[in-house]
Amino acid sequence: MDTVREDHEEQHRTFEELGSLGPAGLDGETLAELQGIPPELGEAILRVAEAELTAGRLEKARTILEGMVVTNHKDPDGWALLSITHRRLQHPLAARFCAEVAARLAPAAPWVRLTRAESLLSQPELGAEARTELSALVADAQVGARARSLLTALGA
Amino acid sequence: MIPEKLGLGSTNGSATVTPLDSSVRGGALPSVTALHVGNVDVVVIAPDPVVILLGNAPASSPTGRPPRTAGTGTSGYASVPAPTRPTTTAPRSTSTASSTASTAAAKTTSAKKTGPLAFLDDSKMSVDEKIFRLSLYMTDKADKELEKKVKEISGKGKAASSSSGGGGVLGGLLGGSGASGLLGGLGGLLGKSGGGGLGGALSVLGPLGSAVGMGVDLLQSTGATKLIAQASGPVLAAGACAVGMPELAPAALKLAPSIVGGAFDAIEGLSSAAGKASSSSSTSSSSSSLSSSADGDMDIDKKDLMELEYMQQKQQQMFSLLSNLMKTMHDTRMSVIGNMRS
Repeated sequence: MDTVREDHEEQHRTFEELGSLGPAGLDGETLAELQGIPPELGEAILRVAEAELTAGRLEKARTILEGMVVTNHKDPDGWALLSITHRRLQHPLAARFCAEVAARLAPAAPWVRLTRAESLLSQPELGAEARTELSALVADAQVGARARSLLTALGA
Repeated sequence: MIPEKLGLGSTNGSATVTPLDSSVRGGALPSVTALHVGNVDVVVIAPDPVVILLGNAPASSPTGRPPRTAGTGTSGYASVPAPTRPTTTAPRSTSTASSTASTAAAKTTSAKKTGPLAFLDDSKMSVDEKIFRLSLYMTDKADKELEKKVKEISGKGKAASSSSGGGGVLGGLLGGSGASGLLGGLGGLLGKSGGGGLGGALSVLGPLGSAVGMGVDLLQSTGATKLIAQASGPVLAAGACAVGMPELAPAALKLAPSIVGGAFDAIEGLSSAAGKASSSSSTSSSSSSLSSSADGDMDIDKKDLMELEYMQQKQQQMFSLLSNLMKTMHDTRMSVIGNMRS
């Protein structure tokens, strides 16, 4: 158990370091800018990936989303969707990483915060942090219902 | 449900969405849509995202993600579409190239366009056509080189044969193969006659002297010599009686065979010495001329043949390279067609 705990602490430190980078750590010109890809096309591709994810074709969704975050690493929705995909693929650490990147890119976005909270839930030792994040989202119009549902399920 | 086809549309502005015809629609898919942005063409076979993009989006997506309105929010995308790339194939040039270099390049380009290989710069010509024309050009060039080489070798052969003919005439005069018999005959005649005016006359007469020499050679045989020696006694005795000196007949009858025999021996010794000298000189000269001419011809032939062989090998290699290239390209296309059929 001690080893597992040490691993989790190490991961936490790593993610804290990632958080300390801030948005400036993700600066730079994106491939989408170089190729002249407009936001509309990025949104369309994200919708395609989302449809794949909903349909259960997780590997296809992962492929699309990995290409998406390479094309524009500044799109928080791409990172968040990739986090959900990894969580469904039983890759909690990868899901947490993607969620943390998305949260750094859009810290105020409710849906991104919800995604991060869900990725935190996959790690039991981070349950308290997840509950705090969900409690903060309860009042949100878009994701409040889901946050409340999750808190109820957690017995809060 | 992913973008599976590329290559539609031609607009250069923002994203344009073009519904495709019903022939490409699957049974389970309500619509198939082509989406073209800048230089990127995408056919989305999943209908929902495209419907959302057209403005019929639901309030929220299946994952709960709120819909983004076009042109707001997300950074990292291009605000202005990328400039349209030129469709024609232009030669690449580096920005750091100096003016001299660019001038030189321009000169080279213009030189290429006017040369026999100008078709290589033709942008409208396909790669296959270029390779085929290059193959034809190389084959033609190699054929011409081969023809030129063969002509050169045949010219050498003619010159060698004419020079060897002159040598034959001179060799004949100086003791070549054709004139060795003549000189030998003359030498024999001179030896047999013991020199003097007859020898000189015969040396000028040539073939006649040779014929006479042959007659004398016949007389050199042992049987003829004995016959003459035995007959010489009575013949001389009869001759002495006939000229009115019968008292000399017995002496002539006795001494004539020995005198005639001695004379024949002397003639034979002289002729053999002269014959040996002439025959040895003629033989050596003829053999030397023969060996020199034969060696020279052999050297030229070997070298020329090797050069010819090398040229032919070069041509063959070039032809096989180009034909292999064309075959590979053809095989690639055939495999693509086969894969599309299957």
